[in-house]
Order: sequence, then C-alpha cells, then structure tokens
Amino acid sequence: MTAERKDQEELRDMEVELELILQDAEVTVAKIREELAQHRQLRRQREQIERLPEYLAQTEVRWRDMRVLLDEVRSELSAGEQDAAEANGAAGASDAGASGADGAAEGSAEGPDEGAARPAS
Amino acid sequence: MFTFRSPCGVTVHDMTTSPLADERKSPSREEHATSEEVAHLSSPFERFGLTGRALQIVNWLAVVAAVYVLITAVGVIGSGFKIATGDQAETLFEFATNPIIGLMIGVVATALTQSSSTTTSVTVGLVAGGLPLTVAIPIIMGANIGTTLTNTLVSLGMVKDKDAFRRGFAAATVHDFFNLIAVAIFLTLEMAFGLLERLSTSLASVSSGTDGGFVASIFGGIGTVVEVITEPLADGIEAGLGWVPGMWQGIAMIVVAVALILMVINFIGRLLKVLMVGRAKQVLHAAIGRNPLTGIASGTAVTVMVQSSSTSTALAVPLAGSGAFTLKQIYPYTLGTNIGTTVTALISAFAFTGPEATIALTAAYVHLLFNVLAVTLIYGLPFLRNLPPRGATWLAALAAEKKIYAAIWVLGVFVAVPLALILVTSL
Repeated sequence: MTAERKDQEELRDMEVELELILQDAEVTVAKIREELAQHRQLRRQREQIERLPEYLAQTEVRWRDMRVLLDEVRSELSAGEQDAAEANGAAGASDAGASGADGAAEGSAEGPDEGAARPAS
Repeated sequence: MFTFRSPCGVTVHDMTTSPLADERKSPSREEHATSEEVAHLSSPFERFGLTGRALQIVNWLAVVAAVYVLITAVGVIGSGFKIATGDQAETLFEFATNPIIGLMIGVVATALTQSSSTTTSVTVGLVAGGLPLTVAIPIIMGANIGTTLTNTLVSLGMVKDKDAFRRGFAAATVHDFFNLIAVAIFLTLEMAFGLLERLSTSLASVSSGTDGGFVASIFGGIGTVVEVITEPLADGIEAGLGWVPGMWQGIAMIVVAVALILMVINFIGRLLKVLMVGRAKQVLHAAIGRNPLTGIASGTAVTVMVQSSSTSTALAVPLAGSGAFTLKQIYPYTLGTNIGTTVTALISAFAFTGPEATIALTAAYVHLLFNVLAVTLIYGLPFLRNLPPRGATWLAALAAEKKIYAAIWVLGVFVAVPLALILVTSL
C-alpha cells in the first residue's frame, strides 16, 4: 500500500517535472522564433540596402506616375459608377417586381372584373 | 537581382523582387519604357570612356567646380537683387510680408524645382541682396513642405501594388505630416515672438562679423578666400549682362543665377549619387537595428552625402514599400534628412563677405535651426511624435483602398491649397 502511494507520488512528481520542462521548451521555442524573425528581418533589410544603387537611380521623379495615378482614379470612379448603376438596376428590377406584385394584389383586391377591364400596358 | 549588359550596351537589371518591379511590368509602364530596362547610376563622364580611378577623380573635380558655380551664382543673385530693387526691397516685397504668401511661394517654388536646396540657396542670396528676413523665413519653411512632393510622387510608382503602395505612400507622407506640423508650430512662434529670427541673428553674430571672435574669424577667412575665387566668374556674368538696361540687368542676373543654381544642384546630386553610394550603404548598414537617434543621424549623413533631401527621402520609399523596413524605422531617418539638407544653404552663405555674409549666414541658420528645433520638439514630445506616423498610416490606408485620396492629397497639398491661400490672402 505504501509502495503504491510512493509510486503514485513519484509519477505525479514526474508529470509536474515534465510539464515544467515542456513549458521551458515552449518559452525557448518562442524566443528562438522571435530571434529568427528578427534575423530574417535584418537580413531582408540588409538585402534592400544592397539594392541602394538601383533605388538611388529610381529617385528621379517620373511625372507619368501621376498620370498612372489619375488613370487608376478614373478606372476606380467608373467602376464605382458601374456598380452603382448595376445596384440601381437591380433595385429597379426588384421594385418593378414588387410593384407588379402590388398591382396584382391591388387588381385582385379591386375585383376580377375591374382588373380584367384594365388595358394591358 | 541579375545584371547583364545587353548587346546595345544598356545595363539591364532583372527587377523581379523590387517593390517597383511589379509597376514596371504593368502595361501602363510598358507604354513608356521597356519593362526590364531600369535606370542605373552613371556619371555623365562615362560617355567619354573614363573608368575607375580616373573617372572618380574627374567626378570629384566636377563636384568641386559645381560647388564653385553654386556659390558664385548665389553671390550673383545677391548683386542682381540689389541692382533690381535699389534700396526698395522692403517696399517691393511688401506683398510677401504676409507669412502665408511667403510660405506658399516656398512650397510652390520647391515643388516646381523638386529641390529645396535651390529654394533655400536662392533665398540666402536674396536675403544678402536686401530681401527682409521676415519675408525669407516663411519661404524657407515652405521649402520644407515643397520638398516632400518628390517622395510622394515616387511612391505613386507603386500604385498598382496595393500593399507596397500603402507602405510606400505612408513612408512618403510621414514626411509631409511632420513638415506640416513643424510649420504650423514654428510659423506661429515666428509670427508671435520672432523666435527663429532672434536665435539665428544671435548665432550669426557669434560666427560672423568683426565682433564674432575666433569662429567668426575662421568663417570670415573662408569667406574672403571664396570671394576672391568666385569674383571673376561673378563679374563675368554681370559684365555679360551689362547690355541689359537698368533694373532689368539685375532681374536678368537673378534669372541666370537661378538657372545656374538649379542646374548645378542637379548636377552635383547626380555625381554625388555615383560617388557616395558606397558610403551611403555603409551608413545605412551601420544604422540597422539601432536606436531612433542613429536613424536620424543616418538620414542626416545620407542627405549631406547626396546633397538632396528629395533624393534621400525618395530612397526611403522603396525601402519601406518592400516591407523590409517599418514606418517606425523609416520615420527617424526621414527627420534626419531635414537636418542634412540645411548644409547647402550654409555653403551658399559663403558667397558673401562683411555685413552681407552675416545676413546670409542668418538666413542659412534659420533653415538649420528650424529643422533642428522641429525634430527636437516634435520627436522629443511623445504626443507630438506619434502624430505624423498616425496621420500617414491613416492616409495611406485610405489611399490604398481608393486612389482618389492619394490624388486629392498630392494635388491639394502641393497645388490647390497653396494657390488658393495665395489668392485669398492677396485679396
């Protein structure tokens, strides 16, 4: 009985110890990941700085970039207008559908004879 | 990146991983330039077959010659302004006593020339020729805002890549926001207390003039030597325009000198890019992963090396656009460029001797103090420090979603608002 309890206690201690080791390992892994990310960022920064001659050559202002921007703005605006027109069209169609339904409802409310007497438009 | 020489002798780079590369491959770009052909740094003397050490020596000699022409041209502006205005400079420039007009003149002139160094050098020359300092100070401040147009335009090159554009536009406009805040604070202080005028006058009296002591005698000595060297060319320009009658001679001298300054500043910038690219790389490598002060120092150093804040801030755009550098890392570097660019005005002040040298140096100190104090105050106070990056991040997020915001910003800040303010304040 005493030996069994001792074994159980030993197992519990071992579990606690393993849990602690696992926690330590997780902290270490997180630290390594962080350091790795920093190293990667530094490497990317150094690579970018190595491209300085290329970037320096590109520091000249190209006024055509302004034209590219204005073209983008124009296409965005026309896309927006198209979307709005499509939305209006869809809304108009659903309104027409709804009003048609209303009309049918009205017609049925007015009575079959009056509805039938109305000229088709 | 792969580099090879094409059969026609053009150096060609494979730009597949550049933040600007995607743009070069877009159809709109291809209309204007072959997608893979990219400008590379080259000296204008390479076309004469010079290479290696000989090319480097010729480049440096050309820089020295260009600085000589710059200083001479600034001196010519001073003389031309005197001839053009007589002793009536204050009366003639009464229209610009409104600081908003002066500020907008600085913004528009710099945006048009794409060079704050040109605006500040010309202003230094005009101040030495009699332009009141109260008129010149807002022009100098306006130059700071105008120069930010360059990097903003460079960021437009990424407009087709949403994420790169958001990052690049934020890196560009952080400079806009910083300079707008700096001008809002220091122009108000200037109008209320004459802060910069007082400080720079005191500093100039210590470093120039007969009562200035040791520093002043060194500056005076340099000024005398420079005057002796530059006098023949300055006299030559004046004599060459001697046929122009009366005050028009002065105006012609100013026009010629401004054209020369614009030309030589561009020329110096082009040569220094070639000559200093290696050093600039060293400076930036050394600044990586360090504190913001090192970032500010690296921005200052790179700008002094290439003699152009437009170039050094435009350089930050692809660095940020690539995603390798965060806005937080780019921001201090950008502030340093504001300080580095003040060197050109200081060099220009050496065009004068005697009392003219003191007043020219005062104008150059205004530029220096404005930028140093702005960086110290805005970056030093946490609640102000975070405003430019926040503003830039917000604007860049908007502009990346809808490009119309980018267009409104560029045309509004650099064209519509300055012109509207000039019109409104002139009425």
